[in-house]
Amino acid sequence: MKANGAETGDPGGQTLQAWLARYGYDQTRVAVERNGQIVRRRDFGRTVLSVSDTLEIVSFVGGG
Amino acid sequence: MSTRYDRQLPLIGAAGQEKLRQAAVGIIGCGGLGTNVVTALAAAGVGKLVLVDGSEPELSNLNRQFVFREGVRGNKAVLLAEWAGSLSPVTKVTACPEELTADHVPAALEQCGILVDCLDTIAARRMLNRYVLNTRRTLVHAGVAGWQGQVTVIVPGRTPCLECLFRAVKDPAVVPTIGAAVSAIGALEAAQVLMLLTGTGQPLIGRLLVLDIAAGTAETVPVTSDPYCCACGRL
Repeated sequence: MKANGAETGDPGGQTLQAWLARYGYDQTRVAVERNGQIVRRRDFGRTVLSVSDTLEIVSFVGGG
Repeated sequence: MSTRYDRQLPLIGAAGQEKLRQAAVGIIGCGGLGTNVVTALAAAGVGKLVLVDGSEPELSNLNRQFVFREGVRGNKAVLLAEWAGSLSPVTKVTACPEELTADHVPAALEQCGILVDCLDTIAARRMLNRYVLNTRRTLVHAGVAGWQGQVTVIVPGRTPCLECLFRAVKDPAVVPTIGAAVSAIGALEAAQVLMLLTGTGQPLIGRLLVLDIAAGTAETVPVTSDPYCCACGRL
């Protein structure tokens, strides 16, 4: 699987939620695109990742 | 004979410079991002700037809001308007010492073709997003925290709106900020405005630039609309 342009290996059937937690992402502050489609936050726990997936993960900040 | 714009004319041309002179840009928020954006736009020769902010400088602002001085009281939009006016003889600056709320939008913003999000909370940005969607205005967005920030250009009906991007993200209690990082993100935000106005370069329309200064990385990713977005889903 690719995440933000880098090879991350086989996610091994993990959900997106579990994968993000494993890599230390704050799930309240990220937007995730999976194969070009936004994954709604409520679907993180039921989105099962596959080795052919491409993820773009963006962390948002709101100060100014 | 030299002019103050000699060094930017090779980038934007005389026609581009004239477009800047004829442009009106609204700056929502006159804090860290706003002071940097306004400085860059005034120095570049943008003809009209409308500055919106209802607050006064605080001591903890001064590590990044370089225009303000300790002990000098006053409204930020008014103080920043004085600064911008002193920088540029061609820039007419209107200060709106008030907050943009769900029920109140300063009338002076109506003349502005481009709005610039220089707010400091996601909650305030949600209100600005609604106004942008309702009026179909182009919005240049930036956010910053710590050493990281992001920049994008929102075009209603064509790109994701801010709600598509932020969704459930909430404001933390305190956002750590340092002037060097805020200035970097503010400069990128101002550059988007100048490119949009002059038709130069490739503004970040439908793309999000994420800069992590601490990591030394910059990444640009395409962003797509959320078809179920509660703010723009029906556009």
